[in-house]
Amino acid sequence: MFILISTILIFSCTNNNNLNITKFKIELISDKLISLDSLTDPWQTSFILSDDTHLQNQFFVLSGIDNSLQIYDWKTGKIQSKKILPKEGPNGVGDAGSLMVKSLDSIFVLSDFQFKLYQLDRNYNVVKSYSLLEMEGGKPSYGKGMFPTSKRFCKIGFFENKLYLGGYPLISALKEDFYLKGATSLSLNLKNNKIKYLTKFPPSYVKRFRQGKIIISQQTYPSLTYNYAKKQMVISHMTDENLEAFDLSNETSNYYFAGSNEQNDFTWASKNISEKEEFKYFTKQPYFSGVYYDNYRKVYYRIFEKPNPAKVDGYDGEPWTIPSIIIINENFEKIGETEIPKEYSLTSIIIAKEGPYLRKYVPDEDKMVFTLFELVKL
Amino acid sequence: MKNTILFILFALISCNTPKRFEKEQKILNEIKSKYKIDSNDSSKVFILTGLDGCGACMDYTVKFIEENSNNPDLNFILSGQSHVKIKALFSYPTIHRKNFFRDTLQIALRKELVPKKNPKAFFCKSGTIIDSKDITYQNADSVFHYVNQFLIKK
Repeated sequence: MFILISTILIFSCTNNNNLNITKFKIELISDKLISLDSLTDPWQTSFILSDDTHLQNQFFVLSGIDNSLQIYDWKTGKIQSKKILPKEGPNGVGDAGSLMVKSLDSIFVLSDFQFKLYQLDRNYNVVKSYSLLEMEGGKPSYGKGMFPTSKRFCKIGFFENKLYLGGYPLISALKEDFYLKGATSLSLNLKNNKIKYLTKFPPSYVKRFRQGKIIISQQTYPSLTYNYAKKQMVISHMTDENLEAFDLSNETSNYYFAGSNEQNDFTWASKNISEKEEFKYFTKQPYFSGVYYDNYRKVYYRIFEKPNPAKVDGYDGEPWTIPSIIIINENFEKIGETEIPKEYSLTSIIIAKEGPYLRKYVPDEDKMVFTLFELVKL
Repeated sequence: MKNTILFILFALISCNTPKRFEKEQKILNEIKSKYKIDSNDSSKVFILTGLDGCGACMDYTVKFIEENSNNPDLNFILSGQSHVKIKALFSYPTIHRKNFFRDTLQIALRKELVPKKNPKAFFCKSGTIIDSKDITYQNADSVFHYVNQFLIKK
């Protein structure tokens, strides 16, 4: 009898908790166009909308084709300025991969293959460069540490004079140390130029590796977003249903379930998968492609991509995946999930004051299209 | 006995030569027909490339195409849909040469005549492929030297 009453009590409490959480869905509202010049490939770009209130309406685009930094008026979608960044010389920035705009006099550009971060002023001159290489005895140590990725979903953060970057360990994924010790994020102290490795892959990765499985190269990229008010860096790993919340003050991680309704058990590749089989395998796997914190609406959006069954090969015009967006509140409670049209396959999210925008696939090369969406209470 | 071995070797070589490039020949013919590329009369080299893949291999290949775009014995086929990439990689005069073709249907990539990762050269005599070479970062110089030698010997 006692057990029965206890069970009923526990069950009611759990239900009450669920009932207290307001559920949301996503509704697509309208498209915004950014008109590109004839030498900018919309899919070879890195872009951000400045968080700085003084630069609120400025949209920064790095173009991979001509290594240029372009600034657009976010309201009108028209270009305001364009500067080709030299790759070499005193103001050279290598192959510019991604950027972070603190202010117009502190534009940070990451050249990932050079393991370097450059700070530019408003005239695009290099004010300072920072090495992201592991140092040993005062000298750079190649083949160790973390590769700092410039992927769009891996944002560079800034908190208390430190920059935060994500990446993957420079260790073979066939070795246990990759999962056990390898770094997935680092901080760069701008005062003393020192780097510090912060996070590793989640504990579930080590467990799966010990079961004879590995993650392949396409699945190694973490997605980083920041909740500065709560001093948190939040990380989404591609094949882990949990979100990792890293406390920037005490430098510890906590994990919270933020999985999809679709699938939360990921099949990992076997250790002997060939390089040729990797891509085919990857296209058949679901994964989490990114996490984005919306500081205006105080929620996280996590993108889940499942394989599109209609996709036959790389040339049929069908999107690779069908995405859905998982909505999570600041307490890391899941408050909704909405499947979105496949035009938003492999999308990314821009957070603006008026609302969040999803990158939309359009075949035209002369524009980028973003769709404003709205959180709607259920 | 010696004659028999020689005969068998000769027979094997003659049977294998056309078959070696049978699949590639079919795809190249399809591309030539689709984009109206006429090259049956003399020996020709076809340089095919996708627009993505190995950056250094592309750099070498773009340089070679730019420097040799006025050579009528060479045909260049660019497989991909991006107009922006073509404009960014090549000069206006090169893009408008008669031996510069855009495979916008991506037949060469789709049917794997050219690898996604790197460009490839096909060597033809009277329209028939007799040799091919992948162009990689490591061998680009020697392949382009081989191309020049092949055209001199024609």
